Amino acid sequence: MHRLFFKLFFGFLGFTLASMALSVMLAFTASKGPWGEHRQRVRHERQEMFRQTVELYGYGAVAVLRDEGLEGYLDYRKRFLEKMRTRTWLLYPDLQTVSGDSLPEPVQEVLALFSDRAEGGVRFMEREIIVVAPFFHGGESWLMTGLLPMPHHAERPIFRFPKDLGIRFWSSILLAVILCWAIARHITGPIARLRSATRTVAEGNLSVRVAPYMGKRQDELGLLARDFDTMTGRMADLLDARDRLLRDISHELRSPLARMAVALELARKGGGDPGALVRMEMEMERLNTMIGEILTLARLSSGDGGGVVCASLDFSKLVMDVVADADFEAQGQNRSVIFSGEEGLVMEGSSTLLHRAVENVVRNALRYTPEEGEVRVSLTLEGREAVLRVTDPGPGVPDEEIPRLFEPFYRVHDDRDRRTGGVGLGLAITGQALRRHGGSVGAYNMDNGFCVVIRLPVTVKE
Amino acid sequence: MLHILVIDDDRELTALLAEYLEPEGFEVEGVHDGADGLERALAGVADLVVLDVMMPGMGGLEVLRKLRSRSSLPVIMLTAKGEDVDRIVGLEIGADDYLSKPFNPRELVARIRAVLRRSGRDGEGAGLPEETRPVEMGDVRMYPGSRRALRGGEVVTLTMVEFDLLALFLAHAGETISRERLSTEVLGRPLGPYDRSVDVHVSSLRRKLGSRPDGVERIRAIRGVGYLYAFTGGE
Repeated sequence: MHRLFFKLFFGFLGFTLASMALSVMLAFTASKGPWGEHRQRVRHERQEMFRQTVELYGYGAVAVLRDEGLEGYLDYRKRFLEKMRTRTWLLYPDLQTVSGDSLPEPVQEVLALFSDRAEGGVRFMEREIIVVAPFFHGGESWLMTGLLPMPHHAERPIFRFPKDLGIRFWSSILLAVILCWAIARHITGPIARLRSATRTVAEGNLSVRVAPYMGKRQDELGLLARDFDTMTGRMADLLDARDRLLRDISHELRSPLARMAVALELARKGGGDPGALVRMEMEMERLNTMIGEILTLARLSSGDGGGVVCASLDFSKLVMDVVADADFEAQGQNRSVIFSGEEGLVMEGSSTLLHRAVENVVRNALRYTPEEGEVRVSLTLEGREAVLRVTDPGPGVPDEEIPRLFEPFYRVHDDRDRRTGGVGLGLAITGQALRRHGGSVGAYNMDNGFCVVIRLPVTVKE
Repeated sequence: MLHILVIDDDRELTALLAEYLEPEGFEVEGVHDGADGLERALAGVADLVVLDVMMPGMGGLEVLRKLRSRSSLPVIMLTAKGEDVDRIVGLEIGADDYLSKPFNPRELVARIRAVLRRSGRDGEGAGLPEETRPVEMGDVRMYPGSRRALRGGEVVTLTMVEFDLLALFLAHAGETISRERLSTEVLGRPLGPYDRSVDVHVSSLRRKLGSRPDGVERIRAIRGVGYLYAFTGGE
């Protein structure tokens, strides 16, 4: 339904969120930029802190060593180990430990790296920190190394948001959602409106306009809307011109017919050939019927609603009336029309038009019914539709010609239909009238006959 | 001679009508434009106006409106539109009758006479045949001369063919009349194969008359033969 909208919305949103995430990641991991600098500073300060601590402790250690000798120093060192869980080694400038024990492997490596540096150094290991701090005490140079356990949260590799980032994070995501929604709406809204307008046009209403809904948009969609309006306006003009032409032609044709009718009577008075005059009169009647039906069809096909008066009507009763009349006529010709089905199907519509639509189909069926045959009319309610089936035991219609059955001036068997007096417009009128009411008409061949199916939306089942 | 004013932009039709109506005892004056027609109608010469609805310039409905504001001259409207709207508007404005083109001139003559009779203008020398006695059957009454039919005192609007059918039925009430006979006598032509026009006309006549007050169908189809008009015993 709104697939484009969702595509756009989630597309934009995904893109926005991805780029947000990417920029955050970059900000946190890049060595350059403000965050990188901050991190570096923190790291440096921390290292400095460790170094100074170890250096200060070295001072203390040297002082203790001088005052209390090796005993005192070892004691001091042990206390340190217990209190701070830090192993330390005080080194002479030649890198010999004062305590005489040997240095662990990693400490030795770090020492080799930093020992010749005046400021010493700090190395963060997996779980511990190794600090090398050279210092002077009483004119002598000493080296203090320490192996500290890694304090909690010191430098986890997993990155962690600062605490106050939560609200900012969520609000920016919300903002992204709102913005993407708005952008997607901005693009798909007009498209939806154009689409509904197109559907309205397809239903035959050409008075629909979309530009007023587009505001002052000057973009491609706004232009499209304006072009759409121009197009429908042009189409409406063309259709109106066509209908006007049909009406005018029909009207103009009636004038010569009126003259012919008078001339015919004059010829009768003058004692013309009665056979020829009767023939002329029949042909005139036929022309007149045809003109009337063309007018009806033009009115029905025109886009202006065609003056369909809508009122609530009892469709069942309407069908039964048609059947009663048709049956009455059929009786005289040894045929019959039989009705069966639902009563009390009510719908909105024009009773004149629907009467005509149903009557055309029933009369048509009767036309192809042989002597002693019967036309069956059945009315059922299927879902929200009234379904009317008119079946006749006639010869039917070649399958490939069925779709053309409801087109104007179409005849199945040219010669035969001439004799039956049809002008080939009845079923076209039926089709148009039903479409006007939101219904449809179709037909199919049966084993022994032909069936026309009419479907119409029903309002209520009383 | 009764003076008929025909206002129609179709000159040839006016000429033909004049040719047809004069032997029937009418003097025809043709005018081909609405404004002139109105002027002639108000001049007080004519006994009846036959007025075309569709005319360039001042249309028939406008002519009728202006005429009615000053005169009650009988008017029969002609229209080629065949749309009910025109007829209703025309009758509302005050047309006395209405015919749609193409029409049968015999029908026009009958309507002219009927309108003249109703308006009391059928003076001397109208060339009218003797008004035949009305034919009655139950609640249906028919005046052959003015081609009017009444049911229960109300006018039933019938076409020419329907009127002729009714006349034939009433003359032979209670008998079955074959479709062949109906075709030859009323439509003036033999019944052809697949010819269903007789049945359509009978059907619409039946619909217009409706069933009798006692619920009995007036016209019955006799299967495979023809039709029968139910006889109602004389009171």
